[in-house]
Amino acid sequence: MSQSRERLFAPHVDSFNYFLGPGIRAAVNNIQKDFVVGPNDERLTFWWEDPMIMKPTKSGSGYKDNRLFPKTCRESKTSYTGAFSAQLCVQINDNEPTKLHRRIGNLPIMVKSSRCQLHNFNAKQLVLRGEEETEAGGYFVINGLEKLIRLVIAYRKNYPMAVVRGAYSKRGTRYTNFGIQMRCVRDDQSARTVILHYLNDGTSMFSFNIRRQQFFVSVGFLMKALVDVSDKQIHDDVLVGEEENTFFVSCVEQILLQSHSFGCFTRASVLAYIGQRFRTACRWPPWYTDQQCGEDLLKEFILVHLNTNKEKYQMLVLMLRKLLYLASGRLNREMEDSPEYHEVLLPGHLILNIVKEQMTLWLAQFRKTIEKHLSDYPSENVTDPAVWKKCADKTPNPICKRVEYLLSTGNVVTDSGLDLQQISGFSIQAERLNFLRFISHFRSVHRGHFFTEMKTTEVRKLLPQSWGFVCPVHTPDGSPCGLLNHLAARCEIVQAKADTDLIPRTLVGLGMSPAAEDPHITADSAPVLIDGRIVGFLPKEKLGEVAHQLRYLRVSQPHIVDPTVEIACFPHTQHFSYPMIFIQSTPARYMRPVRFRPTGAETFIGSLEQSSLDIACLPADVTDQTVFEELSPTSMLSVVASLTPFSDYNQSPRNLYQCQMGKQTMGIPTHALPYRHDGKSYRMTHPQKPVVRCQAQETYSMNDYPTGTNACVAVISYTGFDMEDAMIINKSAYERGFGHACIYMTKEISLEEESGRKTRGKAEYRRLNSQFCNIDLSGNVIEPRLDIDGLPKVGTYINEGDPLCAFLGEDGKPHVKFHKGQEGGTVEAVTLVTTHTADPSAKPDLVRIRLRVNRNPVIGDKFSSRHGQKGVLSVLWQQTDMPFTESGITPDCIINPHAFPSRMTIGMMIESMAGKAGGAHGIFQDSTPFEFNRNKGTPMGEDEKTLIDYVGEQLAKAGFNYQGSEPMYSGVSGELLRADIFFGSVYYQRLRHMVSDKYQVRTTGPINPLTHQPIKGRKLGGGIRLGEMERDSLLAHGVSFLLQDRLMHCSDETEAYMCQKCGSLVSVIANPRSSAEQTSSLSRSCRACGTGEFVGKVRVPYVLLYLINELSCMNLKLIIKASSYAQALEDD
Amino acid sequence: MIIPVRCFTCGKIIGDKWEQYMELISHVDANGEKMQEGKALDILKIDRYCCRIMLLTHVDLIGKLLLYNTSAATVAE
Repeated sequence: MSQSRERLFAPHVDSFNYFLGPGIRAAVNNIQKDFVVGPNDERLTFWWEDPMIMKPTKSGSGYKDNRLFPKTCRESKTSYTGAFSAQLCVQINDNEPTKLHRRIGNLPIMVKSSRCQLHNFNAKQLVLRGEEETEAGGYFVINGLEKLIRLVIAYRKNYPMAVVRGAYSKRGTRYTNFGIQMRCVRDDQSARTVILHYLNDGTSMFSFNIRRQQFFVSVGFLMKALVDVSDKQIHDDVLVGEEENTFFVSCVEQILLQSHSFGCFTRASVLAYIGQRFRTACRWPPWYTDQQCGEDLLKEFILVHLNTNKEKYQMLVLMLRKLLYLASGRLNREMEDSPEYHEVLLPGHLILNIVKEQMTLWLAQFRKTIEKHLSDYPSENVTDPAVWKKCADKTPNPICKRVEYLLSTGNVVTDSGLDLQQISGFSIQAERLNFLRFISHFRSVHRGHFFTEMKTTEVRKLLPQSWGFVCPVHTPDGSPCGLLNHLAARCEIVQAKADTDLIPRTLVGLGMSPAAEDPHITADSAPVLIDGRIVGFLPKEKLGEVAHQLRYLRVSQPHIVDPTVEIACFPHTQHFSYPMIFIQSTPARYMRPVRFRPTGAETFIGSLEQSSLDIACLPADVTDQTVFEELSPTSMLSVVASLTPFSDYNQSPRNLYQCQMGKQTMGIPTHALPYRHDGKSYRMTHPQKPVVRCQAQETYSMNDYPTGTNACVAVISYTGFDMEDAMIINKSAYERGFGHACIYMTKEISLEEESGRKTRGKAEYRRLNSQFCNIDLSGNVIEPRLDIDGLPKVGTYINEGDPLCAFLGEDGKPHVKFHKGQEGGTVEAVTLVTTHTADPSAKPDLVRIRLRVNRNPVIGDKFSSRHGQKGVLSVLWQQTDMPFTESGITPDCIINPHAFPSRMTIGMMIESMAGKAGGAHGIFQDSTPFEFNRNKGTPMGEDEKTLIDYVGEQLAKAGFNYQGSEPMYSGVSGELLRADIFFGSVYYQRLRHMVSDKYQVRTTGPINPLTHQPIKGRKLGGGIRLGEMERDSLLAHGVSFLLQDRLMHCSDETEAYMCQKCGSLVSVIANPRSSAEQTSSLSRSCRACGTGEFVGKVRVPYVLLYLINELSCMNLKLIIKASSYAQALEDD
Repeated sequence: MIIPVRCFTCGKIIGDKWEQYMELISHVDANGEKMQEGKALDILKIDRYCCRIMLLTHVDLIGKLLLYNTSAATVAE
């Protein structure tokens, strides 16, 4: 399989591999130990160690090979999970800890991750296991469905971002819009976002979250809690270079004054003060002193990415300075919607956070269980290992369940909030409609659920900063537009934290004074940060040069500066920015390859770094100073967008439409068809690869999964059936196989569901008595149209109402299931499986019958070229009546010339010409956008032809018209048409929207039992509502008979009896039938009038009866004045 | 899948040309170069571009799909 295609799935697979390896180990090490104090003051400490995740295995015994493969899980509707275990360490006082091996549960395993059974399998082995030979994984199998975790945007780690947000001013009185937000992330990827607020009295408040509750601390007070620092020192540190600035000076004065108001003047007293206030919020053990609590608070919640308090203090000073610059208008706000300040929340990191939190909660739960156990059984000894074991067994254990729940529903269950922006919508199902759709799931990045309900369109804007990271074309039109984006094809997500140990030393060599040695900071120095830690200060004017040196080292000395390290530089020459160098090595960032011109090598740059770089896009942009150059102008496009031919010649929305339609095309969804059990999958019978194709088609081996056919298209107004985007298809071409396709529908019959017993997911499982069988207990055949095993023969055609399968129920009674649904199909395959993989001798309890439904083009089916030019088939036209060219070719397909002027899809016209020339010369044509005249403006490009000339000359050489048109003869009269017709070969896609899935017809049918009106819904055989507006137009036309037919006869017309005397419809009852009477009609009488003399038949809508009944329930009487038709005539 | 029997557009029988075509384009000449698709099509006397495109762009997926043939044992026999 092509290496580059596998890379497309890397953000998912690699992050899960990180979770399985270093991630889970780091997280378990970071979980705080929990304590219980026994009755004799013995302290029981417990924590987790040695987490282990195993490859998935079958749970039962008695298997020769107990490996569990994803295919088995898909077939048996189970989850692909591996055993997760860890050591529970228990320590009494300071004795040697005892380790209890605990099996935590079964954790879902990502397919093709390092703990997947398919890991490192080659193509042949994959095929043997029923997978695609190019399977790249990246998803989970949950209850037989393929689910993946959606990439969601998070704010960049450890970067103090200057934001202006209206919501900030609502935090309290005097709060302003200004703030410095920082998402601090530990090594185990757990995050804590903190904000430094500016208040309009000049002070500043530091806010952080404890269990989703927001707390504020005065910044001066916090500084004093972090380090032993004098007011003078704070004053000097914050005011470096701004000593004369009255705004700065007064702010710092206010901050210091405020910090005095608590009456704490030493670090110890400040810590004790804070510790005491937060004791209830943080649930510290009672024996902690206030000061210890304060220390713990700083460690757990304040700038958690930093390890020492001194570093935290320095960071706080930087944040405060940045805030004051922002508030004084000397710093521009940083746009939080820009990809510069974004990174991605990766699946592995999300799962890691959930597992870590759940393991922490388990320890707390374990503590409670022990405490309860000790109070229930005071005689038992807390030091007894048997007690721990008993308590551990009793403690509920939802750790793995939570992960499975996340994957199946997309919801996160969390206590602390995990610093997430949303708690739902994290998982999506990977649909294999075609390969483009499948791949797009893995490349899509969502902005976050919160933004979907936002009224402003600010967040949806396409920003220049996203060049090369997020595709400008590939986003849906409609409500998720701009929020659901796709990564550029070459954009990568950094997976491992790079080693940065050697960078500080290198920086010192380049003139940096290290922060650890209390450097003399002047107005001229700018900070250098590595992963949000201030490592030193550089003279401002050296920033650009040092950044360049580092970038050079990144290419030439990767052991010093890792290639995945991002070097963002904010030079002092850039106005309204805070000068610094920000080096980042953490995972989950966007990075993309560009050419580093000094060495000519490829290097990766990050999104924050990119904004201050001068990158030449085209050769003409290169000057002597150019350091970076794009590998290709198509670097900005996503995989799907880069497949659109000549997209640079189209009007841009058309390319956007093509990105959508490409994902709805029928093609070859998968090669492993016999092992797939998707409810519905679409397959084209004779797909071809395009003649005119972009380089990406080859790079990502898209020809393995072709999605269309090359059609000879004439652009002509002919027959009148091609109006309004309708298209005509040559009937003979259709008969030879053009556009032929089928769908596979899988019908599932589960004995478990039929028997009403749902044992799935429950621990206990009883064997079912029911079985698939066509012979009942007395030896008779149940359904003669089925095989002896109760299943249909492969190859039989099943119509609506034909039997699908027969089985004996739990009670031994025979049952037959029939095919519902309007369409019949041929039985392609019958698969019998057991859903109880734990039991090797379990009988099959689930049958899947795959029906192949013919879907050759019919009138109303949808087709599209690759340029957002969709159309509906309007007629299959006889070839004999089609126009023909001089060489006798008739078009496969005719489209109307009106499709072009307003849509301006010139790319499609060029494709048509290039396709024709490619066919004539027997070559594939390169349609990569921006490829032609790329060298324009440079000496190389002087004698380059334009694309039109290039294709035109090719056509002329093959004996065709230079402009791509041909003289054509009318298919009806045989006369030469007066105009040359634009004629060529275009790659056409067949879209999955087909008339057979959508038509809705009804004469009579199911009705609502209460109102007797027709129900709605195509599936239920309902009708389409003839609503008020439709009624109005019928009235306006005066077509009263039609109106009566629609609203009365075809709806709820009913026969009712009415008493003309009292005008009631409800009081008429049928007289009891005496035994002597044998007549068919009943006599009726009115209860109210006591006589049947005036009772007559009327035809009324049934809802009227319903209304009268409802009214009479409320003691309202409805009287209808009616007379017979004859009576009425007489009265007149 | 398998190549269609006739060219969709003009109806010329091309189904029988596929194997010859594959043989021609996989043939290596004295210079170690493979034959160009266009030349192979010329040799097969496929003149109209509609039929040429049919051969040129056909994706012979049957080989890949047969990897998963559930009754492969009987095929092998």
